[in-house]
Amino acid sequence: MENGREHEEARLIARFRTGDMQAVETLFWRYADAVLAYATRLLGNRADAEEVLSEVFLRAFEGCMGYRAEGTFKAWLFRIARNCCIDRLRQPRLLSVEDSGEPAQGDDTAEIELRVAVRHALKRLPEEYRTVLLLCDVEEFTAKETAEILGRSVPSVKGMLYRARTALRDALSEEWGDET
Amino acid sequence: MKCAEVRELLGNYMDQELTEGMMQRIEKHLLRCAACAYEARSIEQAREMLRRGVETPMVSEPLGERILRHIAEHFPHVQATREPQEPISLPPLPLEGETPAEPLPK
Repeated sequence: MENGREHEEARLIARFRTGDMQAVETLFWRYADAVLAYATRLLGNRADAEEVLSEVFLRAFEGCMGYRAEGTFKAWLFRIARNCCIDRLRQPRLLSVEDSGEPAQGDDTAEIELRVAVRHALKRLPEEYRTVLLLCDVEEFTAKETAEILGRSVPSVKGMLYRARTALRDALSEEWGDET
Repeated sequence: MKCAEVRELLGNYMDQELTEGMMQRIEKHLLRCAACAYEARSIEQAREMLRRGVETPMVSEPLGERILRHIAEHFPHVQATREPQEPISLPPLPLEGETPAEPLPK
């Protein structure tokens, strides 16, 4: 299944190289929501994430013109996304942009409270903890894929994931405690 | 099993990456040890909250189209294959007293 997708995406990349815009659109719409969500969660605001989204796909297609790293296109995109987000987090800001927007209408109070607590808890974690949690526990990349994205070994990812989950538990319990 | 050993393997236990025998040994320990059971349960709960509580923004069509245009501009070989947008021509509005033009075909 996963192999079938890899082959299909390799064909789409080949079609992009020959100038087929349809292939670009297929790859873009397949992963655009996931990359935007990941960047929003990592950066903590949507405006920056939208800019990162554009940069990620540009860099990815630039990379497709020549050498492309081994692994799935999705894992490769997330690796670029992570690098773009780190660059952005390092940039000094004139204005601090907070949060990723208002909760959607129609959400009940408990859902909004949960979302706010999770957003605040994630913000309190070091970037590498946030990254490993989002990749493994939200995007459901395997430890091996995450290791490829982060350029680390599998045991190091597993160790970091456990520390990150513990830190998230502590941050959430403090957030939850703050609100009650 | 000692608590320290269990804590060492708790991550793999939660991801079900251990042998069946090892999974059972840890389960037995968790039934007897309240501190380790709390550790496992609270981490699992936090993970569940993360899954349910993360925001899931979607790319709007205008944003997606804007980015795709940007990509097409960036790669001239692709731009060449993108069909140019035909300008839409609408019939002129009827002047007062005139019969309205035929509606546009659907």
